[in-house]
Amino acid sequence: MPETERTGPANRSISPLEMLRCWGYIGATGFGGVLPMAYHELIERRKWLTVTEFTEILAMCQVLPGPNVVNFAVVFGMRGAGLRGAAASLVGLMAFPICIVLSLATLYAGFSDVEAVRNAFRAVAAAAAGLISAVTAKLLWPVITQARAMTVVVLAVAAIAVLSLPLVLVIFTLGPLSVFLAYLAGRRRHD
Amino acid sequence: MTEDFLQLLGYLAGYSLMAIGGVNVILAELHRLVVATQGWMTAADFATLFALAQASPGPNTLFVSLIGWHMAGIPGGVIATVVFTLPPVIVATLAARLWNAWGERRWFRTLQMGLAPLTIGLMVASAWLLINTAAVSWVSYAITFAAATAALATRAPPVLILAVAAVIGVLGLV
Repeated sequence: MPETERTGPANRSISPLEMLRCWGYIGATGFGGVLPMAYHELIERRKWLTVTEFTEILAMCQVLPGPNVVNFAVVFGMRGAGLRGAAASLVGLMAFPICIVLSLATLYAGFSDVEAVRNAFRAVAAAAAGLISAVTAKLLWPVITQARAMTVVVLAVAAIAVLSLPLVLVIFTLGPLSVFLAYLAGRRRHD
Repeated sequence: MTEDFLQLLGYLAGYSLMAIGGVNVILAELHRLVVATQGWMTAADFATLFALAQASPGPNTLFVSLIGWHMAGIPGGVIATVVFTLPPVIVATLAARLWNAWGERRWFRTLQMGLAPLTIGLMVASAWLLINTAAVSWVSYAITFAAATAALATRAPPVLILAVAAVIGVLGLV
């Protein structure tokens, strides 16, 4: 299917039940971070979103307070099927993982000394970091040749990873700067 | 329900609106509250609960569920999650409404176009920090690299890649 024919939740209606099932699957299989699973399901498997739409929703969710993926599910659900969609996506994302994490916590005391369990956790953490890196690379790829976008990307990485500045500070300084650069770019195009 | 737990819920509702970018942003603040200031748990408890949340499927928010669980059992876990999730969810719902109303306006598109690169930058930074947090040996880096390559080059579901990593871990190769 060509890129242009893919339709997002804004222009194609997805039933709340479909959303519940989709987000339930994303939540239940999202080990070490839900974003790679959301990317896989929403873009690659179900084709409900394009990479650009995914980035736009994520961008909005990162400046909103609260967990990004929870916000993502709510915004996605709202845009596709209103409040019912938002509720379905949210319940789908949270219900099963909460049951698992509370069961795991209850069981953990008995198994925390088993070397194999600790080793498995370590390996899964490393692989999860790899999956996040892959999603990051996929989001980065379409803008890698754009000077405006890459300036902001490099500044953000330097501020967080190198200088360890607080995230809120970075968002409230680089955010306006980046929007201003986008404004200038848009004005140049229209002139 | 104890007074301490009610106090925790009050803090969580407030923190939830400060956590721009997710629960990782307020980890230091949570640690200060529950370990240093209030003494509701030890630093070791805190670290164990965090590792458990990481090992479970689902959003990182589950760490907050475990803090609630530690203080008030399974109902405490569920209540803490709801209290921490609800305020941001209400904000996100309103934001999505505005998006539907203003999505086609030019200034809104400019806002989105401007925020997208910042998002990607923050993702690169978190990926970088996560890789280094997860690394305990050169094998960890190899697993990270192999997982990223598999995700980029194939359409394998992420859960399959993680399962393979878990097997490598169980075999004691890390």
